[in-house]
Amino acid sequence: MDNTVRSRREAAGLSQASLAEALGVSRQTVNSIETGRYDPSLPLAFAIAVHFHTTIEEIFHVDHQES
Amino acid sequence: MLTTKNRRKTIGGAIGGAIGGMAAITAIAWIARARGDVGFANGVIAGGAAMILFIATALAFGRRGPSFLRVAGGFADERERILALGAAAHGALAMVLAACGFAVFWPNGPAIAAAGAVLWSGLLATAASFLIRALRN
Repeated sequence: MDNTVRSRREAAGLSQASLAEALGVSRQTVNSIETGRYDPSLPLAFAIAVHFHTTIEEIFHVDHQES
Repeated sequence: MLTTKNRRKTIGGAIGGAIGGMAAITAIAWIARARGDVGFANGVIAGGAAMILFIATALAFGRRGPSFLRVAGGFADERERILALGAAAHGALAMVLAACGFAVFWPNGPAIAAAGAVLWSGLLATAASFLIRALRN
């Protein structure tokens, strides 16, 4: 699954550590989500969307190459 | 996130666990020493003390530490819980395979060797699985 977490985080001027702190997860988890190695659970995806004042669909997209 | 209430619970659990662990170590070492197994008793004390020290380190520094310390300290997030669950499953599978292998290939072997093979295979498989999957996921 593709996502725009990294670009949104950088646009907000946040480090991975500070985003992780805000979401209540580890910095490694934020890094794994950004690189597409880990797909977050629905509650975490919601938390990310709420943090960036948008919707899940705006952040996470189906990777057509993968499917 | 750790609220004040959760933090109190974590610290309370840690203190209770440490006291329980020390009591268990003392009892096992005392029984082993009374039976004349001095080496085993010393091993229990050394291993138990090392484990309590490791858990204390995980509780003190685990929150911002690497994944395995976060899991050990009870600070794991959803990804780390999945990694830990998978690693535990791999460890259990390795222990079953080690026990079966031992029973088939060395049925009259000493019990202590079988116990060692089972425990070490489980420990190593769990650690290896967690490390590899943490790096890949």
